Amino acid sequence: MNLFARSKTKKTQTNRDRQKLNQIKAWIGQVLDVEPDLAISINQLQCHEAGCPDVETVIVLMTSPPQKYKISKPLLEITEQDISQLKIND
Amino acid sequence: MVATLEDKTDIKTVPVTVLTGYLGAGKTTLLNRILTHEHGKKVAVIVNEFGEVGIDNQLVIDADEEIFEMNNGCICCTVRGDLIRIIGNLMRRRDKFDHLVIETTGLADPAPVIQTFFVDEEIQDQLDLDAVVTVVDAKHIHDHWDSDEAQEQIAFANVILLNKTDLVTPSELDQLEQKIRGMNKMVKIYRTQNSKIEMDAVLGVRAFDLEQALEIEPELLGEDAHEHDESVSSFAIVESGAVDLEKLNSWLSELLQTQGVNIFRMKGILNVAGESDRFVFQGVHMIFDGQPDRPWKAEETRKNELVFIGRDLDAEQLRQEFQACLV
Repeated sequence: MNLFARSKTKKTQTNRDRQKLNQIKAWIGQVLDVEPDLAISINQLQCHEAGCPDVETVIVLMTSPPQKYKISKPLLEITEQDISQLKIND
Repeated sequence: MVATLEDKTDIKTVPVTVLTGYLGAGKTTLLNRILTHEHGKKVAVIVNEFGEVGIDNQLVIDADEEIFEMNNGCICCTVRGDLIRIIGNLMRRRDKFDHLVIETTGLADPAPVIQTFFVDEEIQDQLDLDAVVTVVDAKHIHDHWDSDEAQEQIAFANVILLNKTDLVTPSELDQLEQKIRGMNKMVKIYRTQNSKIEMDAVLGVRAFDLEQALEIEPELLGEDAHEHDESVSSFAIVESGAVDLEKLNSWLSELLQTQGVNIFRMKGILNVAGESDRFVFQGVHMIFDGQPDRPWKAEETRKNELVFIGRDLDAEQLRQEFQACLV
């Protein structure tokens, strides 16, 4: 794991990241049929605990209780197919 | 010269102040000061209880503390679910406020609040954690000194208001300040009565902004922790020479994995071998955030400065392990 290569700051957050976030949210809205006003939390995690993948994206529908989905990919590599898969595995 | 709030605030993102403090320390008094002060800012507030807060024309939202684990059992991925929801809604009314203040309960652990701003992608993009401001009751803190919450609120603070100074003697205040410094070398301490403080000291601090010069006051770096009998302590590592990035990466990765739970905060400036720029970093538990900063100046002595705040950390061992990363 390279902390320094992956270190992410606002400085490196680009329009591409923002577009991807919006795209993922739109896919989630379509595939998982969520309420339009529901908060959706998307988190690219680099967990340092043993057993966790180096990078994964955790998507949380902020219902009560929250519904959590994990994709073992960085955020930018997530496809519509990955989101469709979430429904199948739900 | 003290910059004004206007100068310091990022116009694109919303600065967020987290207000902590043990029960009865004076948080609500400070919050009311922030809300009523004529600083020209529209402040939105997230509180845990409405209590006596509630100023006309201000956005005050009630929250129920909901701790949520993004990854089961992983402390660095523990966030506040209620804040994600509220902030999501608030950002649709972005034009209604310029600054967000989050008041935590007296018994709250600040870490999940802080981590919410480092973990959620959209929140990271739209808001900037400005500072954790902790109000400490100078008279009664001793009654709670052993509680995890009181220690964590001090350890995570960027700014401490040592409040109710009129109830203790100057010598007691000095001792308390020293004790706090032993736990948190990085904190700015202000002595106050009735939480009376200049707004520039608590709003627009930019304590988590890596682009802000990450200077650590030299006199603090030279000091050893005053109180070694506390389980929460703070210490600095200052070493000249350059670090081998590969060795440092291995060490830090291992350190975060094995001791991340006990590392509350860390930050530092590194002289990386072969690089012309300083490397600045900060961390909260296992979350690490760093970037190249500015070039080292010709007249500057290149060195490495790291500050750790945490529980049961072995300063000497960490110092030796860091030295082993030097070229």
